[in-house]
Amino acid sequence: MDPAAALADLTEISSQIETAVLLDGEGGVLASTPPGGEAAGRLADAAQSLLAAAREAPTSAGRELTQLEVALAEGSVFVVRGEGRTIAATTVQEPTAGLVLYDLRTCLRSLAAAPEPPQRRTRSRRTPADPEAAGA
Amino acid sequence: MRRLVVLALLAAAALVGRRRWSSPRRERVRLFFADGSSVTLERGAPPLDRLVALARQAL
Repeated sequence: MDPAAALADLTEISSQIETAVLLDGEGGVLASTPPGGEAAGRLADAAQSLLAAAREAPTSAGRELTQLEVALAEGSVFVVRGEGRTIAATTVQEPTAGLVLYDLRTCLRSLAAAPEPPQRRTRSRRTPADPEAAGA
Repeated sequence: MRRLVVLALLAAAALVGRRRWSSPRRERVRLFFADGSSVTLERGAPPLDRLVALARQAL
């Protein structure tokens, strides 16, 4: 799946996400939303620094950090690692953290699982090829 | 009757105000690990201030 398309899907699904950035294993920006914005650049830098700082925390000793959430009065920052990539997002105030984390994980999984460009999530009416088989 | 309505409104406003002021929004950091465990860092935890400062840069 195209990283830009994956992020577009993510922001379409999750109205709580304001900015999102997708990083490769080395920290390079694969895609961001809004694309190429200053906010996305700041988020990419912050995501890397957050992961590094969180790993150094005594509570992280001996454990592999996969996700983090920093909740502030003005909004939250989420960082999720997986499938050889990192995704970070900023959200509105007091988001539904579980839902945001789920959407971020799903975005990473969709990138890993679907090498071909996905079909857009548009609802189309199915017309049965064989009306008898469809019970008409 | 009117007094009762006014009193009820005042009581409701007091409850809402108390709730709002008694639980101010706090900065919170949650870390999740591959083994399924998680840690919540509250005020006073050593790396909290650094993580909060970094997150603030992104917002």
